[in-house]
This record gives sequence, structure tokens and C-alpha cells, in this order.
Amino acid sequence: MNIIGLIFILCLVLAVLILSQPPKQESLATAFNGAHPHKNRVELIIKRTTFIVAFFISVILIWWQHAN
Amino acid sequence: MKWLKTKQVRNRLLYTIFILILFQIGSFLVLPNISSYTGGKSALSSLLNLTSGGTLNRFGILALGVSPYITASIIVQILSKGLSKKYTELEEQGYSGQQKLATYTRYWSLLFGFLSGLAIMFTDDLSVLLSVRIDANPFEKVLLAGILSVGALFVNYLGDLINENGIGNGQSLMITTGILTNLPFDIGQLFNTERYIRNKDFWVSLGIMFVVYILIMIFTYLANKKEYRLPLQSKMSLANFKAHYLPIKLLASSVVPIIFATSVLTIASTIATIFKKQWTFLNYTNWSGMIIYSILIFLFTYLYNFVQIDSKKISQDLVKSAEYIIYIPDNQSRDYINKKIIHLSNIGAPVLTIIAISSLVVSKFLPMDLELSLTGVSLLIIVATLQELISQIKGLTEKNNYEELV
Repeated sequence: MNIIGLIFILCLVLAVLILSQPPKQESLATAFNGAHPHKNRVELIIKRTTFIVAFFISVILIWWQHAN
Repeated sequence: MKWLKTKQVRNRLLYTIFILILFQIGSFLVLPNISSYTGGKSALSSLLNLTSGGTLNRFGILALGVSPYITASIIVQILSKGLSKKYTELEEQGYSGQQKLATYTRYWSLLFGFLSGLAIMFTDDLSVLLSVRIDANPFEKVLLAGILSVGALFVNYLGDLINENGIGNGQSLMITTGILTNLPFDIGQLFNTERYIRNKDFWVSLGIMFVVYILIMIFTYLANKKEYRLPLQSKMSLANFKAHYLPIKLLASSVVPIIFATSVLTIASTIATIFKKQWTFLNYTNWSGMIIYSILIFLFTYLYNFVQIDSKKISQDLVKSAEYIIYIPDNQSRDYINKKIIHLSNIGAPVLTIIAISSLVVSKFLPMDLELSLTGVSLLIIVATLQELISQIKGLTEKNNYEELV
């Protein structure tokens, strides 16, 4: 598999992870009492995985840039 | 500097800066088999670069930037104002419906990103205009278009994270940082050109443009602060008899009509390039292009003001809260608000058009063409975004120090 295919697959995973997290809009309650919108454990894991996948894609791109 | 001492403001500001740095670092990540080179600036590349958040001229994985999201959100907002039954119902469902609409916007932006990617990959003229060299087979080009669309989705995700945990509007801040980070490169390029520096006309042109930029910024700042106050009165108690008001900003839709006009020109120019047509009227640096650009901004200001200020909802909310517009019966309040929107648009549309095209018009009469990418539109985006950021910081600081205020 070439590098473009690998990045494309990782991007697909990234897209699924992002689309599985609906954008949280601040409600009036949270806006006025300063609290953060409630997040459960699964949401936090998905958010962290999103950043890990994005980081992994960046590392591959940086490595490819240096190798070529 | 009270805001710096407020923990919540400080944390939100640091989070915003962190995300913006991530966005800028990401924009430098180059894709395999694609290389960008320093080419001449075209009107289309300048337009695309502006709406992408300054990432297009580096053409990395985040090249498309926020532009697919902007197009998607404008379309979703218009659909939800009566054009689509499903979208209109979601809009009226309150918080949960709006969350669904926000998710749909992401799907739309993914689609627009993919189509833009395909257009760039498969149209040689377009890639030349954007100063991009693509060395890939058709299958790889489709994959690269997919990667670019996910890159745009990730940019949108970062913007939403700022909206959620940071301060200011994420997407606007990304466009602003894009303009600001490209500015030193543009200035550097200008002063590196020997033939420019030795020419007297260069300094005269630069001086004139500098004055024009300052005037646009002052004009934008003042116009952005202007608001019409709709006088209200309570029906309920004499204690609330004192009249209060509902403010409607003169530039209620802010930069959106300009971004929409820019997007329409960009899409039309892209289609013209794909079909190898030389439509000079789409180039906003020509007089004909400038006239079309102005007409589009004018029309979109009226259209988007009606989208942004929901007269039906405002009049319903007034009835629910037992309030009324002074001298206006409840059943006429919607028509009254609509009339006011038209009156405000009669002033707002020319103001926005002047801001958008003044620097382009002045540059036509300069003794030397400086090919500056900074326009009235960029300045409007910077000023409007910073004004919103400052007002949010002020609001959050006051909220957190409420006890002291009391």
C-alpha cells in the first residue's frame, strides 16, 4: 500500500470519529453559570482518539516530507 | 487587565491560542505527490485563500481550510428558513434541532470539500492558477481529494472546539489568524522586489494604500458598533413601565454577505476554469467584476439580514414575554420589524459594499499596482472578529466578577 492509501484510510477513521461527535453548542444555562457542557467518558475517549489519529497522520506526513 | 486575572477567561484564551497554533502547524503539513510553488497571484487564488483561512497558498493537508464549512453553513441556514421543510422543523425544535443542523452542516462541508478537492485535482488550469503541481494517477487524485475534504472537516472540528471551550468564534478566528500570519510574508515579498523599492511610485502607492487601510478600519469599527434600538414596553407591571429596547445591529449579518458573494464568485470562477472559459467579469479586480461583486454583496445583505433577524420568532417571543413595541399592536409587530430590517439594509448594504470594494477601487488609480492581497474584506473580517472577541472577554470577565459589581 502506498503512502496516499495509508493516509486516506487514517483520514476515513478521523472523519468517522469527528462525525460521531455532534458539535456541542453552549446552552444558556452553561453560558451563565460558567460550567462546561456535560461530557461522558465515551465522548472523552472519542475526543482523545481523534487527536491521536490526527497526530499519527501528522507524524507520517512529516516523516514522508523528510524522507523525500 | 482584570480579564487576565480571571481564571476562566485566561483558561479559555489559552485554549483558543493552543487550537489556533495547532491549525497553523497543520497548515504546513504537505501532502504526498503535491507541491506548491511561488506563482503569480490571481483573483481566484486570492479569493480562495481568503475564505480558506490563508492555508491554500501552502497547499498542505488543511489547504481547503474553513471555506467548505462556510459554504455549507450558509446553505443550511438558508434551507432552515423555509426552503426545506425538514430543516425548518429542526430549526424550530430548539437546542436539539440546532445540534442536528450543526451535524448536517458537517456532512455538507465534507461533500463540498470533496467536490472542491476533485476540481483542483482534475483541472490543470485550476491547479496552475493555485500554483500547485500534482504528480498522481487518477485513483490517487480521488484519494487526495478525499484527504483534503477530511482536512477541511478537521479544521471545522477545531473551530467547534474553540466555540465550545475557548473564546470568540472559532471559524472567524481561524480566517483572521490566516490573514494575519500571511501578512508578514506579503510585506516581505513586497520589499524584496528591487524594482519596487527603487521606484518613487512604489512609495507613493504604498503611502496611499496605508491611509486607505487605516480609514477602512476606522469606518468598519464605527459601522460595526452602530445599532438600531427597537423600543419595548412591558404589559405586566408598572414597575417595568420604564421603556427598554431590543438592539438590532446596522451590520446584523456582519461579514457573511461578503463571504457569500466571494464564495459565489469563487464557485463561478472555478466552473469557468474547469470549462476553459475566460469570463473576465468574474475577476473582481476588473471594473465589470467589481460591479458584479458589489451587486452580489448588496443583494446578499438584504437576504441574509432577513435570515439573521427572525422577525417571526422575535414577534412571538415578545408576546410570550408580555412585551410590545411601543405604539405597535402585537399583530403588526412582525411587519414592523420587517420594515425596520429593510430600512437597516438600505444603509447596511452600501456600507458593506464600500468597505469591500474601496481598496480595490483605490488600487485602480495608484501609480503602481502593488498586487496586495490585503483588501477591505480582510480588514472587515479582522476588525469584526476582534470586536466580538473583546466583547466576549469583557462579558465573561464581568460575569465572573459579578459579586464585586454588586
